[in-house]
Amino acid sequence: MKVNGEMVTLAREFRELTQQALAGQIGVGQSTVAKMEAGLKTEIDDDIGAKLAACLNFPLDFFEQNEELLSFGSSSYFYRKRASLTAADRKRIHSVVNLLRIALRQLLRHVDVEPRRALPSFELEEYGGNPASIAQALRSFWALPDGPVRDLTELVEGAGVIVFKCAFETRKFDATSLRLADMPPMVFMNADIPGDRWRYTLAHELGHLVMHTVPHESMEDEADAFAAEFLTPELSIKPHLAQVQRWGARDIVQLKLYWRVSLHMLVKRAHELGIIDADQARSAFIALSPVRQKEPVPIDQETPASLQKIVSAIANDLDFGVDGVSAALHWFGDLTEKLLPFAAKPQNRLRLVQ
Amino acid sequence: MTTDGVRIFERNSMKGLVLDERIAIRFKKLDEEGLSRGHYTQQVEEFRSQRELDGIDAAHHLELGYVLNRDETEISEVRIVCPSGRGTAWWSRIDATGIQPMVFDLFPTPVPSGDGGAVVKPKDKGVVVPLRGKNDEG
Repeated sequence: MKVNGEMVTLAREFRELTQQALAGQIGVGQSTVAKMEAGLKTEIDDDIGAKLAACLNFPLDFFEQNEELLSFGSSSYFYRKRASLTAADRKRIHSVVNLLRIALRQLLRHVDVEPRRALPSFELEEYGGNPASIAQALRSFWALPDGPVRDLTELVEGAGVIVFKCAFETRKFDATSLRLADMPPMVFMNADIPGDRWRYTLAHELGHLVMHTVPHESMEDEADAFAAEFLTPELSIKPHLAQVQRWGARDIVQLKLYWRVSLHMLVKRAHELGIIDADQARSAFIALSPVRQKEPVPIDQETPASLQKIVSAIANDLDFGVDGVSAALHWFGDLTEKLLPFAAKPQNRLRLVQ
Repeated sequence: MTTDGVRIFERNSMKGLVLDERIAIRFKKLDEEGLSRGHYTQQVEEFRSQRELDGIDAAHHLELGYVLNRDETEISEVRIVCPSGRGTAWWSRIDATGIQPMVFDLFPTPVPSGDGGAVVKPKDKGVVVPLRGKNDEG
């Protein structure tokens, strides 16, 4: 049988196996697996193929797909990472993101996603190199009222972006986004982050999507500046921050509830906007440090809906069912359950009985 | 009509004053919560969201409103409100002693949750994907 080596790598990384471990389980040498994955050995014996499929728990046709694996180095791939991401974490995240991206491509053969608003691209140079000006321009383009964004996830999905809620199984990585020519823009969010951080991270990724095409050194700072202005526009939040007398958690928690951003961000914003000086900001951060990891009055995490609508339309409206969706994606039901949001098929349907 | 920096505006049955070509004020009845009543037309939504509107042409939009007592026989309170979408950025009470300190409404009326996300539709001519069972060959 013919195999696409990149799909072997993807399945192996998803199952968290080394090449050596996989080779041992299917009874070949490690160099055979390495050659297979590198595309140097595309024809394999059927019995090896069967062992490969059984060991990695994917159907045979998964390995025959004509798909390519996108890596963290590719130019269309932006990621927001924290310093201590391990190689194992990176591989897991890499495999989840690729599986979902490939799955979405398959799913979109059956449904159309119609955005309610356009997702424009902005040239930073045309806005004086200031990401905050782009955030203002986008708010204006989308005709957002002053004040907080009520449901950022819904807003972003309304612009045709597909937001994935992913089990990355680490808190060291918040999100990554992807804009490819032939697919809707995608943002892969860590399901395990607090609601305020979800909003900030999504706004950061939105900044990448509307501002950046080519990676460069300052792009993370630019996306941060975009996110701050998009979630808490200077003109709207400044009067609120100017009224704060003390910067303890208890003193600003109502502002957190209203703006739906973290206490830490409120202090940072007050400093950025010149309301408090560096010493005051430092004192405030020290005062907030005991609650930094787990802030009081958590903000509910927003829920993406587009992927669930897509899956439900195919499973229910097109009558694929869970098994049909799994078959269309060239994987088994365990992945459908693990990776895709699934709305149960309504039970109270009427049927014509002859 | 203008008088010393004050003009009257009327736009699709919305009436009010524009002060100094900067501040537009419309007059509204308020409920017990101090929120303006009435039907949310597109124009009202835009006015409350502080969007510039032709014919009004003011940078700031405010609402001057009165609250009736429970029997609706007397005006119990007059407020000047700065709307922000369906919420309120701030409001002040006006009484015989003048304008009372400004109060932020940190909990504006929640906007009813609507589906503002993308619309997903099965393709017009559905793609037929041959489904292969585990025991099917080829």
